[in-house]
Amino acid sequence: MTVEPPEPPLAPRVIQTDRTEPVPVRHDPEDAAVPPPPPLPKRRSPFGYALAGLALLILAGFVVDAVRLIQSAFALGLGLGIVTALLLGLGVAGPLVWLLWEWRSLSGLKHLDRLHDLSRAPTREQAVRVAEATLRLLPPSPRADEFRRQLQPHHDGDDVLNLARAVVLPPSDQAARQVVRRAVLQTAALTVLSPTVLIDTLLFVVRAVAMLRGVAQAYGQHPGLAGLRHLLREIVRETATLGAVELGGQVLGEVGGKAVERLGMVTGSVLAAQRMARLGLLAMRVCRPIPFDTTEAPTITQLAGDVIGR
Amino acid sequence: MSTLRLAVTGLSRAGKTVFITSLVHNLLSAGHGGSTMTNLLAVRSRRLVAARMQPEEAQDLPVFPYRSNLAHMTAAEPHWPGHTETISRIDLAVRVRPETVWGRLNRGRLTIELIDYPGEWLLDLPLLNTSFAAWSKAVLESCREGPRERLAADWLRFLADHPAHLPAEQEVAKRGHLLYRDFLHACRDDAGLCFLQPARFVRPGDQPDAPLMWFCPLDLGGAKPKSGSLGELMEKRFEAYKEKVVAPFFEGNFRKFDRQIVLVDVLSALHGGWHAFKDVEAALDVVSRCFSYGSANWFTSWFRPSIEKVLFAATKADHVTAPQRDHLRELLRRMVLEPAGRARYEGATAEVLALASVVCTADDVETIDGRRVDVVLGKPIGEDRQVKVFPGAIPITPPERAFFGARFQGYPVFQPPRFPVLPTDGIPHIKLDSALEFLLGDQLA
Repeated sequence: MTVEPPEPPLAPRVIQTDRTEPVPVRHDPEDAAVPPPPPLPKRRSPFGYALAGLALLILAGFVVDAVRLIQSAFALGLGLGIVTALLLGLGVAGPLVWLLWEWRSLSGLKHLDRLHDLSRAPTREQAVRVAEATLRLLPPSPRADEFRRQLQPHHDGDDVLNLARAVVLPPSDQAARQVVRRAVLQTAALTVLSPTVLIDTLLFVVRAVAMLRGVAQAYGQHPGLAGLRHLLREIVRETATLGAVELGGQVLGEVGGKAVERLGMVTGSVLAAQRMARLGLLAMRVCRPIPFDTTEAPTITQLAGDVIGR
Repeated sequence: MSTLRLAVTGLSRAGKTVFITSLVHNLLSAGHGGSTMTNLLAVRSRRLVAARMQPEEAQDLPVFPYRSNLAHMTAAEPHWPGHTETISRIDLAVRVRPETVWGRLNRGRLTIELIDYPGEWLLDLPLLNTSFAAWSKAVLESCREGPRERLAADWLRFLADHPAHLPAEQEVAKRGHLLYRDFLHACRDDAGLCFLQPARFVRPGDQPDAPLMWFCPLDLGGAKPKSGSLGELMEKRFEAYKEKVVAPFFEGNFRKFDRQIVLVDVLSALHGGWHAFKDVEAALDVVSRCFSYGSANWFTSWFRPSIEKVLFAATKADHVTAPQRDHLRELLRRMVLEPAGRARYEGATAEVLALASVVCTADDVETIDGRRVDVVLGKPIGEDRQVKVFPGAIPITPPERAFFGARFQGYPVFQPPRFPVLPTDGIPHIKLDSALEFLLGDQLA
């Protein structure tokens, strides 16, 4: 076997052209917006095909049973047959709508996971796709045109993502921070007012779930699968800790009198608010289509500034 | 309001003037909603409220010609600002919505002090800690090989005819000075060398051609020059030059810096050949020893000012294609291993990147000798047709001597791009905002 010798390196050189137009260093601000690139390719999983086959089998069995049921009802009487068919139709349509909604939600979550994967050290093309996918997630706005207008040929992947973070995401970030801020304030107030640990805990869970949904909506979708599981686990943990703090407050009250009890309640309220804030920031990290970079993720201190400066 | 002194350091033609002009214009544009600085977190998070040039009422240095530079770059036939002939300064005030306690204490205001000066002058700083004998010896040793040997022929002949022990004569000293000065000019213009001392011989600025300038290195043979000899005269003038020209420049402008960016034209160094490349490496090493690095707090900074962050930046990154920019950065990273290591050892933070203060090219492809290669497309100044430039291979480690072919002097000077003179859309750049994020990001929090 012969080995080809490596090609000698080319020397630097200048090549004349016939072109006289200006060099396309940047997009002219007066230009029309750059057309968006094609959407991200979808990944096909063999597990998905297997599940689809199983679902079809179950569906077939269900259809056969339903047809038999309707036939039997019609055999007993026309009215009964019609009522049975209508009820069956409603009974099938309801879960179908719910399943469709869940499927769409799950698709969105998987899409979000892929965006997060692509956002780690992206090439320019990957970054543009992530940004365009983010624009599709959010409600239509002039931000899309602004982003495409500002996108320059010399931008690399990081530049593109940072441009999207600067131009596309600030309104969503602001909306998400407002949701978290509201949740923090309400949690602090409710924890002081609520009479028992159980009600405290319930209120915290309800508020946390509402906040989670609000943050997700601010970013135009639902949390990722892994993120949702992670967040729910956080909610359970936070709730358990909250219960412990409140119990601690009551024990203090029994031992040290009313003044200490009040102090314990206020401390518990602040702690609950702080945990809600942490949860909210976590939700923002998970739900944001383009992840925060290392320096820009909002912190508890900034959120406290939001709350105090309100 | 806090003030941050940013040392824009770079050898001649590294791009300091254009860097400062672009920095000022892009920060002013960011204050007007421009989106060219999105790698700067304060801009990205929309916390940068406004930027403005500070009035220069009590300024002790000439004002940096920002508007005049901008006028050159946005003229009907755009061109670059001329060579920097003297020192100048510009103060830029930036206001942000602060997110930290420190930022709130300063009411979110930061003044950035920027100083521009001829890059050659930087090479005078090492002279402050050098004796005439040691300096003469180093210069003469450098003239024993490479292009210096050839270009110094006339001056070396003069030295052979006029040993240091001869009686001092004004005319002889001046002739020696002129021959040495011509040699330095030839080193710069014919061989692309940059490590040229004393700097005022090459770029005098407003320094008059006074007798204290009439000296040159001499072969002292290890002995102290006798009283009344040519050697003693030259030594006296060398010391006077240090005391009256170099020291005031250093003490007045380079003593107190908080952050530093070192601009290096790596591509030109590569194209300049082996000796030019080694010259740049040596100059970077020597110059970096003149600065004091280390982490400082408000208390210690009163007594020992030091640079907390230093960024080494390969400039003119738009002169290579996008895939080669990483190579440019990696090459510089290895070129400045020692200076960066010293800064880190002292407690400073050091980083390396490739940037272009102004982008004036676009990427393209071309087939050369049957090979499809990436090239850059630009329009040279004074020409009406675009050219494609293949910049050659960019190694990621400082190459061996065999890598260098003939000196490539044909890289055109490209026209600046079209951009509005008003600070609205900014100037297209590569990673200028990343550089600022590293250097100033914490001060804008």
